[in-house]
Amino acid sequence: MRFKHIHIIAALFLIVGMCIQCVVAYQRAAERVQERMGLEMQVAQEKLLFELYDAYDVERQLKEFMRDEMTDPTELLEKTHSILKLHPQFFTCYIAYPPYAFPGKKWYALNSYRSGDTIISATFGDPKHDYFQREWWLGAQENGRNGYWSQPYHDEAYTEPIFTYSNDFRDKEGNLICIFGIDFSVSWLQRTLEKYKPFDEVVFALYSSNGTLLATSIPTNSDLSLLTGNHAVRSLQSIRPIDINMMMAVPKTYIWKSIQVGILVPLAVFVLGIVIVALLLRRMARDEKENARLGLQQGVMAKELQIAHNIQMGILKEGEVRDECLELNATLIPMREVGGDLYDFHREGDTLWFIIGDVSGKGIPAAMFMSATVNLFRAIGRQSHSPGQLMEEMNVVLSENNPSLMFVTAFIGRLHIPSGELLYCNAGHLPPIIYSPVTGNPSPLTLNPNIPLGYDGSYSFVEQGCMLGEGELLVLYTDGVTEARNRQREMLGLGRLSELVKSGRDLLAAVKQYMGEAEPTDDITLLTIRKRSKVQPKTLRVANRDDQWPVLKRAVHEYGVCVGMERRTLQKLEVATEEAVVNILHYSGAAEIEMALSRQDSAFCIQLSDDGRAFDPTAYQTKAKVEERQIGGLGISLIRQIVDELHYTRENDKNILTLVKSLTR
Amino acid sequence: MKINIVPNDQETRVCLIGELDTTATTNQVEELNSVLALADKALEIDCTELEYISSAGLRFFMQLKRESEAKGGRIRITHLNEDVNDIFRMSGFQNIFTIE
Repeated sequence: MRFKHIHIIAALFLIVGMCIQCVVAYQRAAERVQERMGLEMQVAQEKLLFELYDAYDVERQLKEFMRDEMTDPTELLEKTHSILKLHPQFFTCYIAYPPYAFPGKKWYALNSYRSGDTIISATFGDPKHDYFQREWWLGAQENGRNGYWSQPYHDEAYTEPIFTYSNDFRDKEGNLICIFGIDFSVSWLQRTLEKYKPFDEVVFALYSSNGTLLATSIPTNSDLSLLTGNHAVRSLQSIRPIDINMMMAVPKTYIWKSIQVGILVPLAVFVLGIVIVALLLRRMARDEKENARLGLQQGVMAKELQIAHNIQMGILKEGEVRDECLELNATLIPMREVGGDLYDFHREGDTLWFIIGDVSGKGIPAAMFMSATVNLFRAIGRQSHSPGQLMEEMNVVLSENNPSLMFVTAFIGRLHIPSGELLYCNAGHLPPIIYSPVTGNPSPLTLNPNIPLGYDGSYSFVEQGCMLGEGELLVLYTDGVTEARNRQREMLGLGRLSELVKSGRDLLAAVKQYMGEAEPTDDITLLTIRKRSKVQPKTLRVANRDDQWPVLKRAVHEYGVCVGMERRTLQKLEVATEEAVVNILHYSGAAEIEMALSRQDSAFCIQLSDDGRAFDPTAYQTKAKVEERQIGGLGISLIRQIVDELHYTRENDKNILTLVKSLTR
Repeated sequence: MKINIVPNDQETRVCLIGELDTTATTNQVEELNSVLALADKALEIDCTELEYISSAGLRFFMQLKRESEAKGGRIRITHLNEDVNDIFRMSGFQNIFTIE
């Protein structure tokens, strides 16, 4: 399933859940209200019974009072009066006599009743009020000793409906003495019960057993649908012993209102929560997609940059040459994965070609231009005679098809190692520092700056030259070095760089130390070339085997170049050395050969020692005729012709043969 | 060391390329023998690209000359460079070979 649909479905579930929650909460609230009303009405009923049952007490007292004897009616009337006074719940209290209990009087009843706040006591009974037909009269006699509770009814004597408790008083023989009655007004009943409404919104009503509405708390001329319609919650309770039902009702709207805080607020919070969660999820999904895309892109970019870095570092050759006559160190630290700085060098015989450069701009474009420059230097440099010519040729190529107008500052040098003759051409690059330990002053090389490569293909570059003396150091650098900052954001500068050069310390380490933790802001490239002050003697020891000859031959060649031996002379000396070595290889039976190379005065000395049979080539007589010579003899002949001096000694059971060849022609 | 042999009816050309020194004569006996096998023919030994020669290489030339003389072949050496020519001169081989 798609991720974005999940939160919609979750929201739907939550909303449905909330609706169910609402309905349930409403029902529970309604039940609670109903229950509460029921409980209150039960309490009301209990209280009411106390009020009603006072009628029984009064009845008993009155019976005591009358004691089966005919009491003075006036006294009895007063009694009814005082009863009403004592029992505010009673509406009337009366004693009604049967026909002709008193002479001449068919109807005779003593009655006290309320009219407003006053109690009126009077006798009643006349043809108009034929109480013998009344329910209370008849009921009291039918019901035996238990008394009779009437239904509410209208008595023409009173404005409001009433209900009656009545009972008959009889003598021992069972003859009816009188009927005792107490009326209660329905409005009193309502007032009494209404007090038990649990809260104001509850409406109260009284119904007769046949369903007639007797009284209600609702104002008379307003809507009574609360009592019957289905938009109210109701609770019913029948009132014993009278046959009346009371009802409490509360509008459903009230219940809704009561649960609003409990339901609607959480509901609102939930909905808000859902909306927020939905928005968050959407945002997260979008971010995630974006991140995934960016992550992928960044991953690819990082990988490609890494590859570019590898290619670039691969283009740059191993930055160290260290031999008898030359010490070269080259380092490039790119600021980003790839940079625009460059260096290169190659040796052809006794000549060292080198370049240092800085492409404008940074990053991949600079790196591409950098590699183009390096490759050009390599390709054209091999056929070039002078730095100026090489610079011009490179400039032509770099200026063509250069739509992005990139350029590169460069310094190309050609050092003749034996003589120290340095030819150079500068294309807008920083002047290298030349340092002589003898004079002790590092100073920038005097330069014609010309112009950077890539601007103008027709420019004629001026070539210059100087001498690099023995022990002198040439320091080439890019602006990343002089502009390297320490943690206090101070630039290294040419002054400090010169001091470092003078101190003789490892320059790269010193620059790194100066920067400390600070991030480099540009590529840092250093190329240092020192012409060694004195060619160091070199000794090699090899096993006496044919396959070791190339090792010795290469050593002689390199050393010869170092000491500045002319190429053709050097090749002859290589032949002479080969002949001497081959003699040892083939005829001496030695275990190993030691070769010591050195420069003495202006001569190249090669000393070969072996622990084989004693053999003195200097004493060997060669035959005059070529065809008759032994091959070994031919070799000795060649040695003698090639070298200037040949010395042999036998020391410590070793043959020591020294070949000396002058470096001057 | 590399050897190119270009057969021809009149004269077979043998090009010697690189360094004919102890290493070559020890390690490349087979190639050199294939040249010796042509000793009965008219050979041009083209040394345009022969850069270096020592007595070991000279010995090969000597062998070739002896074989050639024995089998009625003919040898001429062409295009010796200055350095190699110097060795030929020093060793006296200049006098026993036809060098053009």
